[in-house]
Amino acid sequence: MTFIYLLALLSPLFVILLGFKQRFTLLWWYAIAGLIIDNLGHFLKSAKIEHHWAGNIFLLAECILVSFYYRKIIFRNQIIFWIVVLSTTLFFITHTIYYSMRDMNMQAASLLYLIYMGFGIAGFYKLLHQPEIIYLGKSSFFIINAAFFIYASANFLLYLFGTYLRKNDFEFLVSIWGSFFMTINILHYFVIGIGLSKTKTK
Amino acid sequence: MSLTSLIIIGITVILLLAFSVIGFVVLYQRRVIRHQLELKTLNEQKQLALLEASLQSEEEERRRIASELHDDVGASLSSIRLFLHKADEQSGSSAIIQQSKDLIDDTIKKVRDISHKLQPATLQMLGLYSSLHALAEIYNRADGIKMSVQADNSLTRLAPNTELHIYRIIQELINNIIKHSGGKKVSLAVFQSGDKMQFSLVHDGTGIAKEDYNVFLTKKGAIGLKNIENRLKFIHAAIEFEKRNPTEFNTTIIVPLHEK
Repeated sequence: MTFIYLLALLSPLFVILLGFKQRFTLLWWYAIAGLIIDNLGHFLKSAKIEHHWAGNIFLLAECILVSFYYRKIIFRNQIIFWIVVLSTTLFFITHTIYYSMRDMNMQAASLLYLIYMGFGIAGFYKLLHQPEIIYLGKSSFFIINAAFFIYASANFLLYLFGTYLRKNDFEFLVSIWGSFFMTINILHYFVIGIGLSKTKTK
Repeated sequence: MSLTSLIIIGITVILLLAFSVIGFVVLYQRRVIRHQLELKTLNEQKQLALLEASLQSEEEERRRIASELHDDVGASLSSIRLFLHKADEQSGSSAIIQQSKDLIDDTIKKVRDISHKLQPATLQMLGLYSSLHALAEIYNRADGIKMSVQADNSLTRLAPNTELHIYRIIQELINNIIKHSGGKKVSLAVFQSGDKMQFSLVHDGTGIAKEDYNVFLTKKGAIGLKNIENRLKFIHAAIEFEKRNPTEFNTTIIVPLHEK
């Protein structure tokens, strides 16, 4: 186990600890889900038990939690929100059941990351059109939105061609997964933790 | 070029685009903030200009009324006094004429006091500190309070406009003390503290705290307090309220020193 892999497994702790004042909020549960599922996957892998389905569970949980995080921020019409959430969730579940039960459903995940990129752009748009003066360095939403946006942008193409790389260039996939993806994962949890720590407690 | 290389290039391009989007958001927001701050400054300047015009207009009206009181009403009353004096000489001493003379004398004093309160003649000629002494004399003659002033003419003079506003603020505060506090003794001390001039008004009545002052400012009416607040804003001064003990309440006006 490399240092970066270990750090990636524990990186949700950044959010859990830095954002402790905001515990029991959506992003905090997102980090809890990430910590549990990533470590479960690692445990199953070590025990040589089929573990790729854990990735699918995480992707589904991430989809629901991230969508609900953006719900009140970018969706004025709640009907549109429910259409987006339900359709993406249903698409992911059916696509996974049909194509990729035992392996991580990277193709459907790439669509989810494309949607998160859309959320990110919509989030930035909302920020720029706020009537009050917002200093971005102090805005927890800007920091968290930037983290998700970079995370989704970095993962989109990787997941889109993940299945192809698994079949045709597995070594490259392993190396980019172990370095690039892990680094992005660690950074995204770290930045979310910082953003959560700046959130004002109601 | 293999698909693997294309994927690497693609990820790099998308990441660069993502950072560009974030960079654009940051730069755009900075521009928006700069613009909003400029608008806020312009708005404040405009409000200050309107406030200045309003206060100037008020002062001109006071000057006009004071002038008319002194020149017209005062002159007429003095003439009536002269006629009464002549009637007294011609017809001999009469109780009614004597009472009328006393009443006219009293009325002339009151009109003079009102005229001086409206437009203190000493303010421009002799400055704020002498005017405050003169104001104390007016209040001591009537109004049912005893006022003392500790203000040396050797203290730094303020700008003429600032001195006028401070005079008006003190006048308004004393009027409020007479009307609402039930206080009988008022003392005004003026002293310099660093780069600020402080006017400390102590009375033995019931005063208000800063929180009450802020509440009254937002309520309907309280025109006097709003006038004080406007004048304070105009001269960049602050006001503080302090209850020293059950029989001593202090209101302090803190004015930054400007060049005369």
